[in-house]
Amino acid sequence: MLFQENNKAIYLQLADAICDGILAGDFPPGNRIQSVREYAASVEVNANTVMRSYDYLAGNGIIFNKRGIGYFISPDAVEKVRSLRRSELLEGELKILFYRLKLLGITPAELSNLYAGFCATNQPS
Amino acid sequence: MRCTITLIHHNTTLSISNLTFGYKRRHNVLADFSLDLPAGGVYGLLGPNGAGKSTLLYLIAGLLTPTKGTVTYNGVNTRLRMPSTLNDIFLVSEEFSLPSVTLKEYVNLNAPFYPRFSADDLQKNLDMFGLTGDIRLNALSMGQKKKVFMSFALACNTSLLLMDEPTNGLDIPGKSAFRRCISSGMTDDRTIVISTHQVRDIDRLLDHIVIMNMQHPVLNSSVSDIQDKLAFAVTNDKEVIANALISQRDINGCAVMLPNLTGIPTDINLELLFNFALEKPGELLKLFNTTTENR
Amino acid sequence: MTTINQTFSPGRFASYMQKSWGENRRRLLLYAAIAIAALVSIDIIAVIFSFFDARNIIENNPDTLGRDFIYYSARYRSTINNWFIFLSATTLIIASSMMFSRCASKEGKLRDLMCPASPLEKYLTSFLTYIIGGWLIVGVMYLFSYHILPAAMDALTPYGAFYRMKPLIESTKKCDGNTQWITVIFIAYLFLQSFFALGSAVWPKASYFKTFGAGFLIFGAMLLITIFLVAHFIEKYQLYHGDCAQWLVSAPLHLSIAGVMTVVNYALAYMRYREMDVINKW
Repeated sequence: MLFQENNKAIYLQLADAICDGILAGDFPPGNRIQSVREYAASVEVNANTVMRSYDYLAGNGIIFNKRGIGYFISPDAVEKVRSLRRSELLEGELKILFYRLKLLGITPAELSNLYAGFCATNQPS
Repeated sequence: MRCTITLIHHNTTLSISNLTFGYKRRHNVLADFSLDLPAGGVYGLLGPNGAGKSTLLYLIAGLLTPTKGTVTYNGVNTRLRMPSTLNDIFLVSEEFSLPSVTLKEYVNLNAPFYPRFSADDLQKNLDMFGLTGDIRLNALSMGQKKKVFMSFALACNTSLLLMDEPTNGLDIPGKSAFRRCISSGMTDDRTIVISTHQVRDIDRLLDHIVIMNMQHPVLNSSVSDIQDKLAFAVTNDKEVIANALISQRDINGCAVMLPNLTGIPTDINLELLFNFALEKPGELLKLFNTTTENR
Repeated sequence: MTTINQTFSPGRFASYMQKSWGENRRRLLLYAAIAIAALVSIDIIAVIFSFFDARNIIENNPDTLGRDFIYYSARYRSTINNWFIFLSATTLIIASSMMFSRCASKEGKLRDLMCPASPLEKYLTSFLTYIIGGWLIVGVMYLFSYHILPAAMDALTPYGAFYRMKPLIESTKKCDGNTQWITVIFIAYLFLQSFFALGSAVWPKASYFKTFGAGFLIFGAMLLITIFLVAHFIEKYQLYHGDCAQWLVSAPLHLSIAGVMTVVNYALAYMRYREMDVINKW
């Protein structure tokens, strides 16, 4: 597994990979995911890092832990992932983009029109 | 000669206190070196050539006699070389030799010394390294011998596992298998100390990082603490680069290390951290609020 | 919690012996075979020459059977005795030089020192393997030279009487009033073994040569000191008279000293082994 060079801490990158899988339908709700140890071995990473990753996802309600059995995908995982990604985008990338737009003098109205035009011609896959 | 009966208790901290050691009279490799490694976790031991990483591992294992100071594991001085200490420590040294017997014989002759040895774990590790069948040990290449030796070492399930340049001599699948073995072999009461130059081979495995230089430890910190206090990024922003603690040109831009002001954890660039530790140890120590154990 | 003995545990000792012999089985058997083969070869050569001597006498001069026969058979016996004494000494010394040969390399030391057994168990195993083992090989050599070979020659040739060997103890004279040479040789062997064992613990690498050199120097020094003492004190105190002289040169005194030194050597070897580090500073 190749880790992306965007400097996100590994445990967050691992969480991202799981979230991607949830959105893609690879991890249906209610299914059990690999144990901490198994996942750590498969991506060749410290088990504590995976633990942090699972804690992060569990903290956001995306997975839950059944003691003694393992970790499972929450029934509403897909919505939870979307809402997590939404807040990550709004707090992160979007703020940076807004900063740049302001510097270049692009008005909110201009932005609104451009976005509307984009939505009309591009349907999300 | 004393006849000692020892009660085995699980006080698993590795405590290195005021260790002074040198091979020659005038030159000490370690001077008043102190380090406490609480149980559990994978420690990376980094340092420049000649900093004494191998020497430190030998001292931890009780293979060298310190001029001053002690190394205590499980509450016992390791230099005493008590069997109850030795059966809980395994050293995978850079140089090692295996007898000219088959693997089965080797296991039969050596496993009895390690009470927590597991044949299942051995098989699992050998599978990960892609080694099968009953092997004649002296018919193996150096890399294969290393894979066998490491598989056995991990299968002994000692609570302290010391490894000196473990990925040296391993082919690429071997390095990958090594990571998988360590990942799956980690437990809460097991301490693994990996000394290496090849940081890229193992950086994802580490919980704690110890950097040593000039006879002392320069850094002893958990990965999460480092991620709390320092931020790493690749950028072209000139202002950021100018204010960075250390920077290095990279393919995509400039790799920088800065104090972490946003609180967001980033992936540690061990090379930058290492170089900074060597160039400005004082600043690094200040950043990490040193405790009395570290200098 | 469990209690275990850190100095000696029979179970662990047995495991260590098994490991030591299991891992070195081939090497040990090879060395034993070489030593015995050397002796067998020399004995057989001695037999061949003696056979032709015997046959010459008997077939050419059946009348002079008595005197020449006795002369040549005595020569044969002393040849076998001398070679046996020489080879057994060599075997014992070389075997005890190998007592810590596994510690000659860094890798060997790492393997030995990291093995979870006590130094006493490791030392005793080496002692059994190389010191007692040395005597076992010498025993086989003795059996061959003094029993098997003569019996074989007796069965194969009509000259049986020629080859019959007397036990070593009878064929050596007394060196002074009460002490047999054989006792002196035996005690000397024990002492030399212990000396080379100590050498092996101090210099695991190229042990035989270094110990031999050290022994040479020590012996030389002792010789010089003795000469000095004799030159200066014997005259002055007239020690060459009477009981004092007798006592000073008596075999039992020297043999006792040698005996004590043997035990001391083994104790020093053990202590040195305990202090062995993976890289020795000195």
